[in-house]
Amino acid sequence: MAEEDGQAENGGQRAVEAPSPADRAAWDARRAALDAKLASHRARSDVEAEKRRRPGTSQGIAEGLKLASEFVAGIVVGAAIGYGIDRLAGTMPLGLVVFLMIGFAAGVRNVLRSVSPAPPPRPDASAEPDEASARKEESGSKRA
Amino acid sequence: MEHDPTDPIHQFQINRIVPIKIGDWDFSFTNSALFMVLTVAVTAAFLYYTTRGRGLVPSRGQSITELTYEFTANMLRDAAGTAGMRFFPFVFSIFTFVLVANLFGMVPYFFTVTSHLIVTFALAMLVMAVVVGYGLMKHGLHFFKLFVPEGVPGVLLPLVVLIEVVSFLSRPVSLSVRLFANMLAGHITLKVFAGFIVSLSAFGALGILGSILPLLMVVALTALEFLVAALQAYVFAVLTCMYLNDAIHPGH
Repeated sequence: MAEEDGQAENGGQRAVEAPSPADRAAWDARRAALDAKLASHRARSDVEAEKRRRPGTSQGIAEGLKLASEFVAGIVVGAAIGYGIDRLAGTMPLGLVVFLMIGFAAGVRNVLRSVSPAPPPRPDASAEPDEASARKEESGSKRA
Repeated sequence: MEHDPTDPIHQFQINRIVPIKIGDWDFSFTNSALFMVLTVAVTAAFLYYTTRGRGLVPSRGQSITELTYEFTANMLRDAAGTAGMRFFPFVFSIFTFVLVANLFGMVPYFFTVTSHLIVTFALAMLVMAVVVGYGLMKHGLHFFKLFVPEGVPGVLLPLVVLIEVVSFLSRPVSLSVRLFANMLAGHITLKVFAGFIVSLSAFGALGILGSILPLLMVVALTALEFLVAALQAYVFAVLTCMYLNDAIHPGH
């Protein structure tokens, strides 16, 4: 966004010297071509980064441990909640049984979440206003 | 260290260095606290010392600091987007603390801070407190959309929300147990194999010859432990970034 603003300003300054619609069209075409080039380059480097991220053997062990701990943590937390409810309400086996199963489901959910490829952190449409608001907030706090 | 030298658990013992007692609580300065202070002091001193020149062309030390900075910044930006960069100091502190504490553990006779569950759990709860606190502050009740996935039929919603809540609550557990278990298991394995060398070489010439095998194992394990120390610090930091992403953009 900032780059575009800068270019527009540049265009405006030059327009004072030599205002010509043909020039302007040429600049627009050139800018579009550059944007396309940049986009394709970015896509390529993303693909390369993805390739580099493929795990090796030692990372495979770490990955396995990670998934195991995610799964076990779900069950442990579920069992703990069930046990706590039972202790408080005096329904001894019931809460433990129900929450053990919910904990199992949560463990599976954890594992699925960590294996499935992470969604792109911010689809550009939704993130742009977010960022803008964040920037506004920051400048606001600086002023205050 | 006048204890049985091959006891693999002894290295995790907590000793009071300066006993402090306030009321009924024990606030003693222990060896664990000493190494936490050392970790922070060494990290901070290294960062200050290497960046003091502010060279345009970085020196070797400054390169290390800059690479660490870039590495953490990229990690955070990949996971949480540019809006996540406000958490950079937090993530950088956690990453360097865990990394340096893990690496300190590899120095002989040093105490491994991260091999105690309470330390890693406190770190994980700090992360969770920041996630929940920031999420509620920024999004208010919208933060709870985190627990409501899109496109779930109304009948199943209570069950799914319950599962999501339990899944969320299990995050600090898995985050802390993973780091703690890796460090604990690695250090015990190292000590056990090192103990084999000592006890085998007590059996005369043949024993000394045989003790070469565990010695090779210890050398290999030491290399592996350095890898694990760095990898676990990285994993802890990456997961911190992903959880922060949930706080910044709930409802994904």
